Amino acid sequence: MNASSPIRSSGFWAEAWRRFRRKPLAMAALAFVSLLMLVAGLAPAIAGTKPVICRYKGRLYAPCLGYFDRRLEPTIFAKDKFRGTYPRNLVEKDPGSWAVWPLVFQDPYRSVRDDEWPGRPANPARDEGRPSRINLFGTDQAGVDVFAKMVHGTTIALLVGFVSMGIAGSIGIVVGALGGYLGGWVDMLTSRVTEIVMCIPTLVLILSIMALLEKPTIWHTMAIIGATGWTGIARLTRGEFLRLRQSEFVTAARATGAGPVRIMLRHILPNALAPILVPITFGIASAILTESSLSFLGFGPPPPSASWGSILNDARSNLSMWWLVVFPGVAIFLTVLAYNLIGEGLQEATDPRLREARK
Amino acid sequence: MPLLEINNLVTAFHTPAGRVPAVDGVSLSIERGKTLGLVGESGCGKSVTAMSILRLVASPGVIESGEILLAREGGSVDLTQLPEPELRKVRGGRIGMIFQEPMTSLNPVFTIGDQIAEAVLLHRAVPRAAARARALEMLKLVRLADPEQRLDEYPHQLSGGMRQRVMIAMALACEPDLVIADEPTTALDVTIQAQILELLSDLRRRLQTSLLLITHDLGVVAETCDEVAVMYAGRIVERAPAAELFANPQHPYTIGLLAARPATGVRHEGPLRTIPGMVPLPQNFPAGCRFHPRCAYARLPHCAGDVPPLRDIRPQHQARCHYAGELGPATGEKGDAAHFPHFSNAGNELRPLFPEGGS
Amino acid sequence: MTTYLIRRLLFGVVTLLVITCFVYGLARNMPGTPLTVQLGETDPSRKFNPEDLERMKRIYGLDKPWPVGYAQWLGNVVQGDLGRSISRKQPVATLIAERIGPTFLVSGTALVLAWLAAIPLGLYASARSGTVDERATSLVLYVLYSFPTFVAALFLQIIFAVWLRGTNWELPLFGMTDLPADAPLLVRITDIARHAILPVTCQTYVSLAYDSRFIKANMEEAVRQDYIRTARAKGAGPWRVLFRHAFRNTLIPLVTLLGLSLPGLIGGSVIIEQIFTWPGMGRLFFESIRERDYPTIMGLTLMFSMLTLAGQLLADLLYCVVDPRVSVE
Repeated sequence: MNASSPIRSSGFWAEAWRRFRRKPLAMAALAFVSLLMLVAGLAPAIAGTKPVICRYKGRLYAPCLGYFDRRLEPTIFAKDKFRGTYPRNLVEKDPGSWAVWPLVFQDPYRSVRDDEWPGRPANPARDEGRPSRINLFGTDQAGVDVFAKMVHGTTIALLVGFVSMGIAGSIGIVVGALGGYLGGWVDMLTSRVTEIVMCIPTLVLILSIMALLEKPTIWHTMAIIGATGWTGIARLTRGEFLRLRQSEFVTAARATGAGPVRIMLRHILPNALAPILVPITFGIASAILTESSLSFLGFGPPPPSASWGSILNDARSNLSMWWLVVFPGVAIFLTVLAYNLIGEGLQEATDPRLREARK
Repeated sequence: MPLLEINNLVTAFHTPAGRVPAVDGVSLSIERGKTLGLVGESGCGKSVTAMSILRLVASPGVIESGEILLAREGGSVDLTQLPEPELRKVRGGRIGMIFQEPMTSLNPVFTIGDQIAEAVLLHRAVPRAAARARALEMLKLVRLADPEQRLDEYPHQLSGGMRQRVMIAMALACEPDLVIADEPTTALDVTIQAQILELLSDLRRRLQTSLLLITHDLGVVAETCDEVAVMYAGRIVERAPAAELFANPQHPYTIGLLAARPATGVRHEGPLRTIPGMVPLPQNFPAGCRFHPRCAYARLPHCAGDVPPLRDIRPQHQARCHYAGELGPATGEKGDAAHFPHFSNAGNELRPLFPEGGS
Repeated sequence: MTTYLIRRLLFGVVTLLVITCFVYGLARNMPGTPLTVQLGETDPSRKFNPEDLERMKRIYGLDKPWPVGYAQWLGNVVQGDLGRSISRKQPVATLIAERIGPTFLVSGTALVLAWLAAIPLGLYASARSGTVDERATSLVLYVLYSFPTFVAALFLQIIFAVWLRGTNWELPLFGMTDLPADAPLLVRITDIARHAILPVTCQTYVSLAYDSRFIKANMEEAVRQDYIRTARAKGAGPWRVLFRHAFRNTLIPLVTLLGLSLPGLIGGSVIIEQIFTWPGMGRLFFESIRERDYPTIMGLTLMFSMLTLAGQLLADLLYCVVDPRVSVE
């Protein structure tokens, strides 16, 4: 529409992707995050005590969906008094039934009982629960399988990053864009508000709000992390909008009669997106860190939600159960590292100055 | 024996896209107390040549071959082979350098006095006070107003022209045998340009220093230089005393440059001439004579096949052209020398001949 | 200069008002009051009868709506009174004064150690940029940077307090000291130092990894500038170029970082103090939230916010000192 516009077309992102792809560490990190997504999506099929698919009394069911939401578990099993124990009940109540089981027969929310799976003893508990062939990552105080807990906790780790940074990103971009583009008293107001929020000690605020809630859920945690983590993004966005507001292509757009909203969304935002994306990626890493430290401090979502941080919290009461520290600790570390590496790769792939330096 | 002699210098940049020979077999010599002008368009390699002399070429640039001989008592020394500590004595000591960007070439956190005194202290075993006195003396020499006061000011308090005077003071502080000035006036206002050039040639005469003046402005060369070397696409294409070159240009490129030059002080009648086509990028220099695609005299396939040697055409006058000395009216398909395609010179304003000089 | 300071102070006061009012509102709306939480948890039989509870509420001003309570609190603060802790029966100022020392011991030591190591490391990394050893160092620092403190703290606890139990290398798990206050001074100092090793290590490595990466990034930026070329052309050697010319410019962003670390220096780290049950400010805050101890929560919030503001002001002032282009106006 306007020839002078440097709008970052698909060419820019294709170029950025080409550069990103050349960084083995960043690509490995991306692969790791993709793997986590896969694990989160297939969690009930990887570890669980409910069949992935089973044929019962002539019909096909997928009880494993109950792990995503209790309401998705077919009611027939409750009616037939399965009480969550599938292997024996299936055979006893319908000898003609068959089932496809998860890869690992362990439950993230409870200990597996003696002979629940034919011929297998109950999960050990406490100091006895070191990693074994049956409990890959060991069991916790109550005998719940750590591997199953971690597989099901992956969803939380991923959600925390995306949801809270989605919130922080939206607030930050809106506040920064308004201040940077409109200037004047709006800028004055948004800048002051940003500064005040920056002065609030984040952990103080999060702990107070978490204490305020009667029954904090994981969604509250995400919302609070998002609501406090937007200041850096806002400042950066403001800077970008301030810079781009004066560029020729914005003047050209204004000359064609485009309104402020259209200019901000269609003309400036695409150009400002690359630098804003970088702190958002780093923000995901720090959101995951914050959530796990909150859970670790005991301010996380209540059981039965299995956040990686809350497994670590269990370890504090008995440090000789090293497996409660090593596995979730390494998982948190790797995830944070992966997002940091992606952020760094993104920065190097989209930063025009670094790009020139490598020319 | 000349003060500085460059023989077959090759400096290349090793980029992901491959080897880029920015300087490709350049030979030059500068006599004591004389001024050599190195002329060419942006990207022809003249700045890289200058940086190569003091081995300041930034990575990924590498001096691949050739020698740079600096005369000293009882012989000469090859700067390309000199160990780093020895080379540092040459930098700022025997050879001073002035850069194109006075705005960014001074360190913002040190005072003018400190920066000039540092140059003295690095090469002379004198007390601080003496170095400071020398700095003041130099500021007076470059005719900076209020030198005592300027001594304690920071670069940001000075205008571009003043900063360039400081750069000159710094380069001359240790009474070097040679000063390399890399487009010293390009970044300055036109009125300031003349002052700085005048200062530079005046100081050179008074201090009996040799000067290597790098520029894209033939007018500057005509006023200040004893000898001229014209550079095109990484090679020297013509070399002669200034008067001789302006009177009898031998290389088609030089002929084109001179034809494209607006005569100063004369009201222009008719169009300004330009050279058709664009300066080739080092990544894809043409084979044979690198000027042949733009040359009005080019005879194919000879000019595209063989690299012409730099040979004597007249006394003290060399050119790199197969047909130099026998150039009649142009016969190539590019048309007559007198009819280079042109742009209109409406309003008789002086237009820059070439794009802003760059590295 | 004066007008600048006045403007900063005014803005600071407004910020403090907004933050304290907000936190007070939050705290008062948490479920449970210090009286119910504390008494209900410790000993159900000693629960107050309703009249006693009312009387206590009146004493602590909990019977009025929170805006009134906030105004009261603010009035007292202006007069220099932070109030008395409800759960600890002590003036808040005394509580804070008791906790500053231990926190400063850990965070101050960690800060000094981190900077002492980070500056040479950052300079080394930028001087040897691109070499194998630099890449290895940077990778290690990067890994440390992504390594969560609390995980590291737990690892260290397992190694030094569980696996090495009974050896010379065993380190205490919790607290600041095991000895009574009347033990000989030297013995007490050694004991406290042994207790401080793990918390200090945890706090140091985080800042070390962050700071050295920060220094390296800024050095790399500085080294690309034209004035570095000028310095080399003058004949300055590589170390002189790096230290005098590049690092002097890197100091500019560095002092900002230093200013911003001020709140942490005195505020401490909630997580580290919590893990090692270190009797510092961070732990005090954590406990006061659990106990719904409004006066302590408010006193600490006020202090944290003031420190943050002071840190920003300090950073700005230092900025003017190290960057001649910036002047206070």
